[in-house]
Amino acid sequence: MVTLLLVLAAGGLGALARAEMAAMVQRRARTQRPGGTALVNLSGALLLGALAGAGSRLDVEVVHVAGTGFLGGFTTFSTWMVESVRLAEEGGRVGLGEGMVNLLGMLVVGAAAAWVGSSVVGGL
Amino acid sequence: MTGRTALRARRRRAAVLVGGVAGTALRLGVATVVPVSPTEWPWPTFTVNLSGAFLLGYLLSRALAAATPTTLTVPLLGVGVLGSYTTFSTLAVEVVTLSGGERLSTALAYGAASVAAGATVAWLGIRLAERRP
Repeated sequence: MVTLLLVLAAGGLGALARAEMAAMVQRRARTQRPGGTALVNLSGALLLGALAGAGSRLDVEVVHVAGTGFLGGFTTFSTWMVESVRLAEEGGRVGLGEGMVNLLGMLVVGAAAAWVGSSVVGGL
Repeated sequence: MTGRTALRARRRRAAVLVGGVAGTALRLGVATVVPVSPTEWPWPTFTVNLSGAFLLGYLLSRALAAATPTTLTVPLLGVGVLGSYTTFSTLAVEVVTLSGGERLSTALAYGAASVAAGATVAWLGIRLAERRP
């Protein structure tokens, strides 16, 4: 029960961290490109990979709070999808390409980040 | 920052936090209802990600047409609830886990289906919202 509440609280904090990070990137980049979501998602995939790589060396409840809670709330699929569709629709032929790159590129780089996190921590 | 903008920013943060807790609860709820098998298709993640992408497309499209600058609908339901309900990190780790366990074809199909179906339902949500008066 306590773990469940911690997982939920961590999910809320993850969402807040995502919003702050995305806003920060947006202010610096001064474009409408979805760089904030990319940074959030790729760093989150790296960290969740690291948690998975640690395996049984970490307490299962810690993994639940940090992984399912914080990183689950921190990273987002829905924003990534909507931003990709918008990129594709708003930029003409170039936009369509950008939308596809945002979709497939993030998937590939995200899986690579999770693999790196898992391999580095798993090999320690 | 003036007092009013600071207050608005605090309200927005509170809405994101509360929404994030609710979205995480919903994701956990789906995970308990949708059965998971570690050797097969990750249905819980697939379910939350696709339903969340559709709903966010719909919500943001509606909000774009209707919202006033002070509304908390997008921070609460969009950034908070739907942002936390869906997850990218779990998807990425699942793709890696599947491909490591001699199920490379399942990993590729799962990754490809997630983005193809995810973008399609997000697009459908946007279009559906635009058709409503």
